[in-house]
Amino acid sequence: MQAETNLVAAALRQAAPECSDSIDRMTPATEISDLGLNSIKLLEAAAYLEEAAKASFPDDRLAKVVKVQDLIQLVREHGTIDPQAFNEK
Amino acid sequence: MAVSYQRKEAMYRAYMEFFELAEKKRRWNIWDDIPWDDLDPRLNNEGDAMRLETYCGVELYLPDYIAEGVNISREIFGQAWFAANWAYEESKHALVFREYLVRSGLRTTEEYMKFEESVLEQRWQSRTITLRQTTIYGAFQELLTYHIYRKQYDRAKLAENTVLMRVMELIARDEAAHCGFYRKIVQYELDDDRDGATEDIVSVLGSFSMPGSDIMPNYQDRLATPDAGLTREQFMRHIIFPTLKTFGVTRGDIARIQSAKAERA
Repeated sequence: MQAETNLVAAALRQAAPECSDSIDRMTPATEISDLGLNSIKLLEAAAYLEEAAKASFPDDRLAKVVKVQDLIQLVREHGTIDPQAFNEK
Repeated sequence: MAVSYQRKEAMYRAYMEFFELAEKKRRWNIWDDIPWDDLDPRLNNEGDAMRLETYCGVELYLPDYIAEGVNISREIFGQAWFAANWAYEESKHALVFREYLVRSGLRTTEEYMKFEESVLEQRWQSRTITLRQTTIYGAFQELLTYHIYRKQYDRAKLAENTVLMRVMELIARDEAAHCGFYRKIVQYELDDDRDGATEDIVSVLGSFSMPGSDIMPNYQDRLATPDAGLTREQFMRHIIFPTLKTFGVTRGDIARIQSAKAERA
């Protein structure tokens, strides 16, 4: 769970560095919009996540993402975790 | 930036295709094509009034939309003439909303006039800067309005309100046609400069909002009326994903473009 959470945090931070403070404080229950990310930033973060987790998220699931937990769940269901993925960038 | 003859010719052809269909298949007028005699005020409520008034209000900024839309595209015949035709069609949308509000008794003429006055106290200004960004905005915004009006059509159908059904059917059809034209022009832009146009798509989506949303009185309260707009999920599902797919732009493209932009900064 922690690996997925870290991966999600790194992807969100990469898509929206200006929201780093709120991302640092987020919990799985935090809503993405409360972090300051709009829809296009969420898509960008999803792309980083897909690359890092070697995943392809279904559009209909991505459309339903509201909380950080939803992204973590997507990674768990569709991805292969490599915790170093973002460190290598 | 100068526009090539080839591009101007392509835009002219695109406009002629759009205009031919509009003239031959899509023309309607508020006197003959709406079954006003069937209007039953009992089928409406305050929620309908709020929704229709809000859509009417968005259309009321038409003079501002025209001023910006025509001027920014004046060097390209096809796009400037589209802007003129678009304005004519949108003007009918405001008219039919106003007529419905007053004829149905949802608003008195005096109430409507006060609303109109309050809306026009502010002047709309475009958030986009270039013609390309304006066109991209149009591709997303027209699809959004199509879905909103389609939703109103479904509501009216459920209420067996044949008059409102017809109103929504006609204007939704117009919005879909506008979206089709904008999509074609965005495709030309992508063909010419894929990365630049994709960067503009990201930029436009990043600041996207309905026109008038930040200047119309009580807009957010109005939007809270059930079914007045789309949810975030519906916006993603019905607007963003299909439009990006049409343009052949993937999430990976967005990430690549944004990373490159960040490196340049």
